[in-house]
Amino acid sequence: MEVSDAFIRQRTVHTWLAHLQRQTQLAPPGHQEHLHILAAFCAYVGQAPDAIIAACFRDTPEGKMIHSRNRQHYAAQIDAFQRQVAGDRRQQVQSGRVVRSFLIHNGIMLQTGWQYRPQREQA
Amino acid sequence: MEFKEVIGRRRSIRYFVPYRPVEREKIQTILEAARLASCAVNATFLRAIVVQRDDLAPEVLEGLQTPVSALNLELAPVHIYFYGDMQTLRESRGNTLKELIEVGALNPSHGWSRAFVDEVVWKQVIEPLTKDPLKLVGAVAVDCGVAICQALLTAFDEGLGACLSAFEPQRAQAAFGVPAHWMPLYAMLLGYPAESWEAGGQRPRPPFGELYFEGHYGQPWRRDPDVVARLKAAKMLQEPAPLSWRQEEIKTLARAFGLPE
Repeated sequence: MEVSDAFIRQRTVHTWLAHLQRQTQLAPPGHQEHLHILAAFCAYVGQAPDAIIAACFRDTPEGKMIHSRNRQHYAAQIDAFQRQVAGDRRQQVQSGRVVRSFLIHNGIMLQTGWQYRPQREQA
Repeated sequence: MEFKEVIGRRRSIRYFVPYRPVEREKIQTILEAARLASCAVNATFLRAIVVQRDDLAPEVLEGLQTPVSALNLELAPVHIYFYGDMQTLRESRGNTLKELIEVGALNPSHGWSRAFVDEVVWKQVIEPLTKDPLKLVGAVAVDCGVAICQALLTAFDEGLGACLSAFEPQRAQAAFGVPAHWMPLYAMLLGYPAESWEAGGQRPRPPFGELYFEGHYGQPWRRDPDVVARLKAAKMLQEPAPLSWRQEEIKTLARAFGLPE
């Protein structure tokens, strides 16, 4: 699946890739796998990247706050997305960690557990 | 390890070897260190509940997590939940001070007597403090902080990693049967570090002269470079973060645990 220019031009995608490059030195050629995974997730939930991030924030008189319920919703969606990815456990985990990275670098504090914990493997 | 090096090596460790248990004697050593900490009125405020992560039901472990502590709580095999006992002072009625007189720690040479404790200290200082929630919280928090610090440094001296973490107090109260008059503080998460002991280097701190003053505010304490050199030699002052290889280490750990980068 080709990732469209419009998708890459989304503000939140740009922010994510810029932060990744700065923090982990992930240069543009390495972005492709990340973009494909994010695009697959967006298709899975039927939302564009900017819309996902916008939904995870809410405006309050004190300023921008995290929308806990929506964050929880997307955290659960990432878990579900990860589970349905074709491939072995490691490939599934890789998909989840890429999507979580997208939310995190856009300011959505998100923590997941240790993905290879034995009881998780059985779940 | 020498004392100064223990201070120098302490970092908040956030990646633990999740499957490696912590020896019971090491946990006890940590608690013994906390018990010996300095405390006002000799009232020992700190209380702790030690929990083995794997003894917790999954829903209890999840319930204890806050948005920023979830992963740490899951990776650390041992949690020590620290509390301040808000009734200790009231219940002591000054007796803990009188114990200090009995054992020769507080002496007439410094004006101390049992009568002074009963007639003056208890009535005019301690009892009013027990009725002032704001002051009481301050007193309890400071003394508990001192004791927790001793526990924390001891963990590193024992070759472990540790960090202090927030937790959900109501869930903890229900899960561990915590008395209502215990004030929740922090959980000390404990285990063998999965990251290197350097953990990226010594954390940034404000310049010395912005923190400490000589004689009066605005007159920075003069930091002697010879002392700095001596503390570097003693490994109290260490290579500051970030170490050049830290990002590679984080990347490796994130991949090993399946965490986002």
